[in-house]
Amino acid sequence: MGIDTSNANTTIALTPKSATCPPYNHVHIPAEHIPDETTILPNNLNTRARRSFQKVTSAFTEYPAKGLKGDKKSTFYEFLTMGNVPYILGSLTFMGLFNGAPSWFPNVNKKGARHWGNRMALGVLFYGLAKNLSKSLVTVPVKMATGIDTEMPYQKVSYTIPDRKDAAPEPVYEQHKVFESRDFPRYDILYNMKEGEPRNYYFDRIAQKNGLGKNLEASDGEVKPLIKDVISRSSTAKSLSTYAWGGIGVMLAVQPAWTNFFKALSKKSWKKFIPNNNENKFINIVDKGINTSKNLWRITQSFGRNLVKASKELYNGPATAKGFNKHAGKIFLGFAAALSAFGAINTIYGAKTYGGRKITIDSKKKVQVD
Amino acid sequence: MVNLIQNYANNIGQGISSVNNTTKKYYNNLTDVNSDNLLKPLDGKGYLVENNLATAPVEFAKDTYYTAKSLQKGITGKANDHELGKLNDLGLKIGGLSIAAYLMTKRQTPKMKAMEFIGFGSFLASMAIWPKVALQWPAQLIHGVNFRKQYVDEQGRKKYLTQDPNYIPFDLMKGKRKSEDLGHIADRMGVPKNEKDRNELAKEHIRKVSVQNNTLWMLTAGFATPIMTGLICNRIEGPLGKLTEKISNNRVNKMIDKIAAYQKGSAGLTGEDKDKFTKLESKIVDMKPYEGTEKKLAKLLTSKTGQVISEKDIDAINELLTEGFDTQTQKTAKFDLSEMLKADKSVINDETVNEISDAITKKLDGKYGEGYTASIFDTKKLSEHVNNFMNQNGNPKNGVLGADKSDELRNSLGQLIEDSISGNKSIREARKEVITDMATDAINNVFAKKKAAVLTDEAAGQISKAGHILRKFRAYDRTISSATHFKVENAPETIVGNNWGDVTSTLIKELHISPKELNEAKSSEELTAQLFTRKLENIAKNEEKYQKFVSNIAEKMALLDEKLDNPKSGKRNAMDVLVDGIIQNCDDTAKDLHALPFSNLAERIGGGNIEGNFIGSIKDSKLRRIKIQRVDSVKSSYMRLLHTADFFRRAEEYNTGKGGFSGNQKLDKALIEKGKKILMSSHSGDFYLKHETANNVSFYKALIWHTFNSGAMSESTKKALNKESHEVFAGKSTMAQRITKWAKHVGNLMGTNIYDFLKNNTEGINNFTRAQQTAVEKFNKIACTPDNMLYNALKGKYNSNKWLRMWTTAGSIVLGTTLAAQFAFGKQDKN
Repeated sequence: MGIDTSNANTTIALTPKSATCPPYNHVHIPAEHIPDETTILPNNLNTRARRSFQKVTSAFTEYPAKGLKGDKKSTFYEFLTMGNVPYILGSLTFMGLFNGAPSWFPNVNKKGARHWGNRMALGVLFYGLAKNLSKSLVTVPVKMATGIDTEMPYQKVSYTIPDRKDAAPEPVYEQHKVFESRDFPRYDILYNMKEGEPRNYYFDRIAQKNGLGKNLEASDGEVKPLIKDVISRSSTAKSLSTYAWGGIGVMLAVQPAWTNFFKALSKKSWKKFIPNNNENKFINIVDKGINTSKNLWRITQSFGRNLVKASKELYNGPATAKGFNKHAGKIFLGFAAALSAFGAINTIYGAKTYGGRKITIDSKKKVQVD
Repeated sequence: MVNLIQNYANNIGQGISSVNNTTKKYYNNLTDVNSDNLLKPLDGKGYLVENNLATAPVEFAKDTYYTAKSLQKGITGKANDHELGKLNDLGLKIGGLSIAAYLMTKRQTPKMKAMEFIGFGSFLASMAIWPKVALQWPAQLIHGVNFRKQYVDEQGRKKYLTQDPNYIPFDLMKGKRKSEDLGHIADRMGVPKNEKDRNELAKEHIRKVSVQNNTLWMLTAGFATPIMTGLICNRIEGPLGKLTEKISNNRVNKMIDKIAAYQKGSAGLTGEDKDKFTKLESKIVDMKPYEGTEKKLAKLLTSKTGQVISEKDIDAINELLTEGFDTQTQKTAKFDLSEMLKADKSVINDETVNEISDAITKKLDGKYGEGYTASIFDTKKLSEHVNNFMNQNGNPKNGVLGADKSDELRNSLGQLIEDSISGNKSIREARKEVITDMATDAINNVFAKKKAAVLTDEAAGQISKAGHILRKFRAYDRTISSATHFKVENAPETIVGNNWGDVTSTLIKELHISPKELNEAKSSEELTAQLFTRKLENIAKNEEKYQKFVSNIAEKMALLDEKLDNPKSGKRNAMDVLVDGIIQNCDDTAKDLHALPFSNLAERIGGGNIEGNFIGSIKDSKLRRIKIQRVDSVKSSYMRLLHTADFFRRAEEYNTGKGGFSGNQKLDKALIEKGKKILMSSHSGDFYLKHETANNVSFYKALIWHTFNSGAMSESTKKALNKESHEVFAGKSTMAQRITKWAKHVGNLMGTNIYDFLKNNTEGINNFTRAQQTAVEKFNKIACTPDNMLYNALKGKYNSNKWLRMWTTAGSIVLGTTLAAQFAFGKQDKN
């Protein structure tokens, strides 16, 4: 929705490493004295969750506030990060649109319309989930085979020019990925990655893993074009396959099995807690908590059960259907899986065969520049 | 190109020749450089993109080519960031199309299938339209800045000019248009002509307005895009429904033509014509979908032929035989199968002989002591006798003997024992008789136990034939049903369903119901009846308005016949072809099944003729469904509506001194009041209760007469509805004639001479058959009440209005806020 943000640095500042601003209260201090605090972050669930949280909160608060003022310090990064706003608001609006009508339907039609609306709303949710999760189908095999983590996160810290003479430069935090840009990968932060290891430690490892050789004189120079190749191929694979998987999310959500889940989720199915007047308040509160947990567990179980059932329905198709109607689920599943598989294999192939395709400059060959 | 670069380099060299040839000195003395002779740098290759309707196709083609090239470069690891971004857009489209294609399979009608793709298309269109209409144009109008102007850079990458506020290639704005002219933008800002850095102020203005609009775009697109998508789909659905109905009806009518050709049969056809017919038959009676079942049945029959079969086997055979049929038909078929596979045969083998021998021994030894049987009779003789008998009868497969042969063997065995005993002089005469009786009993008992149902070759052949006949029935029925379903069924997007929607929409339109009235009336049927009565009375007062009212509604009603029957084709009435098809299929199948021992099944499919109605048969239920339950009941509802309007008009004419009812003013007033109520709201239950006129027989009779039977019709109605266009087929009646016919029929069916409330079930004045007097028939004839018809239509209208109003309001708020925001944008800081 909105603009294309998938290949851009759509992330936003994490909490600064040190909560206090560096003591640059005197504007006469030359800029080069400000240390570069840009750091590579561990690629784990914790980082992802924190980055996503801050990206979304900034996209809804800080960046629009700056943008609507036309702030001179507004950046392209902020604009791209705000791409999350239409995605989230759009999903919620779509859910409302799908479910908005049945409230006024006569009872006889309400049920059917509501079931479809609920499923489509679930589809919006599954679309986002499937799209994000399916990235791993490309990135994990590529990382395993080539050693290049195309999702490697880093936090960029920069300082803006103060608005007033007596003000301190303010740090600005941006969340990026080292290999988010094929044109400008952040090679610079890959040097000296490990203490006690050579400066080119990272590049040495990648070169070795991809068959470019050991103990290279300038492994960074050898590996950089290979990294570009990997970024280009893996990004292509992600772009094409993740949307197909997003589609699978919607297809999964529209299966009839979910009707049971929505029943389990309904207010009617919630087993109410009736306080026991003979017990004290504390016991009742505990019992209420237990009752809520039981209800939540029941809903979770229903979700799991129906997820399995819906997956089977998607794969097998309706019992009475024939031809494309019967096998559409299989076809699209195969299509998405093929895109991911081909994408990952193509990326790995590119990296592994790079050594043989290296461009060497032939001094005798004429080069025409136009 | 190489020459150009060399010339350029040489010229630069000449220009700076006065400068000391070290970098340091160059920079130190930069201000002293005489630049008069320097050449200007070459013009950049970047340019602003002209985006308008004329250039759109070319730009689209260029973009498509660029994306295709990007894909190729992406796969080979050579795509740059911009190209990878394009592949992301491509992924979005592929994903969206796959969702639409899948959801299409979940939809039943062509319209809904098409809507899935239209929905996705509308979504993409909304994404493109919203920023243009709600942001770009207003911003250009108010600030003179087009913040969505695109440019192509040196590397051929198309981008938005202002997407990165820190890098806006202002040098490409060469003033070709006002929105590309910094001077003009400064004018719009009110910057004095002699202001220092005038262009810089304009640039800052562009940057600021762009940042603000880009931000607002991101904040509003989430609401606007889905709402626009929903509203676009809502607007498209109606016209699309008409288009898909037309396309589907043409397709179905063509299929009906083929059915008609098939009905003529192949008799007398030779050569090429016969080949054509064979081809046609394979299309109309397509057996392919049933080949699997037929094979399974054949396999099962082959494996069971000549063997004793159990109840379970019969069920398995029946299941395959009647696959796809209703439960009642399956039960009937099983009845026939059970009759055919009765347990009336015997299986004779070594085991049988042993059992006979054991039974005789057990009996005789039990009476006369152990070893007695062996002393008087050699049981080997039994075995020899049986073997001889079986040899003489051709050693039947699995030792199965029919009832006659089985009896013959049984009797001969009895005779063998009798002969054997009678020749034994050691046995007393009196005992001989006892022994013979006991042995015969034993034999009979074993034979009785050995009775079994056996699937003979003949029975297997008959079942196989019946299976083929039933498959053929289903194949032809499938073709006919697909047509009847589209034409008449109570389902979305059928001809009858759509026509009902058109008629009721026209009714709402012609009644001029305000939103307030709609809101009130939709809450109950009583309120709707009151509103409808009030509106109709008003319309009936004005002849012109009245005629327009009934005429417009009747026009829509007449379309039902036209769409169902396809009269313009000049061929046979399409619905008649389908009805004949059902009769032909059922009759042929019944005839074929009668020739086999499946007479009950034959009756179930095509028989049971009672008073001209095939009660209880598939034929009856199919014909009744399409003719009576669907088409006739809908038409009866239409006639009731028009008859009600006519009655209101007649009442109005009576009030103005024209026309008459009974001649008794007081009675007429009561008749009119009650008549209006009956026509507007009475259901079949009210007819049974004689409209609460229990203590006034003559009033009841007059009421029925003047409301239904009199045949009276307002001249205004006649003028409006005696149109040839309503006749549809030559010889068919006009709408006015149909109304009278319907009213008289209901009067005759539901009115009564016998004023006996205990009987409750009224007896018609005319002699209707019992089949025509069933509660269902009466229900269908009385049909939908006008107030119920309007009530349901109003509810539907209210629902869609509510949805539309809610999202239109939401969309308007978003649009209004977005537009208003422009007036706050672009304000420059005071310092």
